[in-house]
Amino acid sequence: MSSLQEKIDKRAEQAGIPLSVHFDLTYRCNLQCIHCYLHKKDRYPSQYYKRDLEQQGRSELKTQEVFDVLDQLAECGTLFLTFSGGEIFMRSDIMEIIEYARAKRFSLSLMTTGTKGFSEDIVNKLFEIGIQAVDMSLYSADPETHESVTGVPGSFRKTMRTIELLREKDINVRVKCLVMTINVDSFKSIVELAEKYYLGIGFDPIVSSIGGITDPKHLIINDGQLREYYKFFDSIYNNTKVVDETIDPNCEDHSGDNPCGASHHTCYVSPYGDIRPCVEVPTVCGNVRKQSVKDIWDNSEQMMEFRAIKLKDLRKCGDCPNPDYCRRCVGQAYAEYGNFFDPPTEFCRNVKIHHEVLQGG
Amino acid sequence: MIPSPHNYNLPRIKGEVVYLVQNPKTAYRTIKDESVIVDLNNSLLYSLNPIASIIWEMSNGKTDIKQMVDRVENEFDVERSVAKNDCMEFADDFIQKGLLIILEQ
Repeated sequence: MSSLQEKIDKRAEQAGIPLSVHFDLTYRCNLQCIHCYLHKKDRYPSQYYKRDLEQQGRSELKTQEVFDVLDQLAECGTLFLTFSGGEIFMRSDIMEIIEYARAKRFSLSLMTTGTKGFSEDIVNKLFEIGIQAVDMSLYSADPETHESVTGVPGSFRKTMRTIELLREKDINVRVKCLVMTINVDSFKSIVELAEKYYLGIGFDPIVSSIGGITDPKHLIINDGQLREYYKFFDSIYNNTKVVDETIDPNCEDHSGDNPCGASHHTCYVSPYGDIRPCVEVPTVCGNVRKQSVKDIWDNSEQMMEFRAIKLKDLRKCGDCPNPDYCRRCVGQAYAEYGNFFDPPTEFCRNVKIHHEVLQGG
Repeated sequence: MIPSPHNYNLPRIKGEVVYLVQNPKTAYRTIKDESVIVDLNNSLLYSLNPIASIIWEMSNGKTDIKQMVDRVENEFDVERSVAKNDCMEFADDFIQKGLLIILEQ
């Protein structure tokens, strides 16, 4: 991350501004990714589930409600906005929402599977509107391997077609690849693909254990595979536009005191209007149907409690000899231990092995 | 790839009766009295000092540079020649970077 970004994050934190917001517009999805942390009932809601949510006042935010949240976020000073899901193009109003967000002058990134809703017309429209980046998941350059993750035949071809259309208009595309047992031999082929289409790449060897995925163990690569991954990654790091997903700009914090940016200069909005410090943190700090965004950000007891957590409060992390290698995640800690303070096993394992590789091991 | 600002060899400002607009392919917010701009063409980030922030904010197609100079002269209590020099320099720089567009001059 550039030092200017770091300074701006710091300024936002001091001014009490949620500078970067991740806004999930829907949990509905047209793919069946094996590692997805969203609950299946949210990804493929039945009519009965939708009715139940409606009756509880917890249905997906309607178009006008989304506009209202965007108005409030702009008023609060949010600049960097990411729309994600689920699959955002499952919403029939997605282009309206994108246009509205850009009219409010957000720097807007879209996270999408690239398998639904993209046509030349839509891409032309996105080009006219001005999008900071489109992020897509790509698990392999081999269609069969990619689709063994997504669970949907034909999804690779659609994703690649979307990438081609976006790159023809010179729209920034970043591909995200979760490195798992099922695609562990694929990350090299993704780099070649990225170099061909001039894509940004984010690799992540840490499988999330939050939410809907109950047991990710069978997806987690072993020590030997992880070592090979880090050797490869380090060999290409300075030679391509690879971005190490283990250093996520939205997670980094530079005050030296905070575990990450969540609740300091970033937060998360769910499709049902819940505001949380981060997508990985389950703590609901408030709901936009009952409170203003500013009130939740400034005054929510849960937000303030989370904001009070400092690096020194985290067990072991404060004494870790290799903090620079770690994108330490309190949300992952909560998923594993039920508290924010113990170090997530996978992060420690990754830091240890990465450090060994860098030392020549 | 290290992104580079656009440099289109665009027209330069000739005087104070110039109307500017922000390039629509930008994003921005003002944090306290300093604006942060993202050029969506190349993802470059700019952090503007208070004077530059005023120029940016007033580049709405309806305010000419003379009015910007008036405001800077008053708000910062500087000599008009200094205010004019700062405004013209900043505006010209951002035009060359493609962030501001001359609507009329």
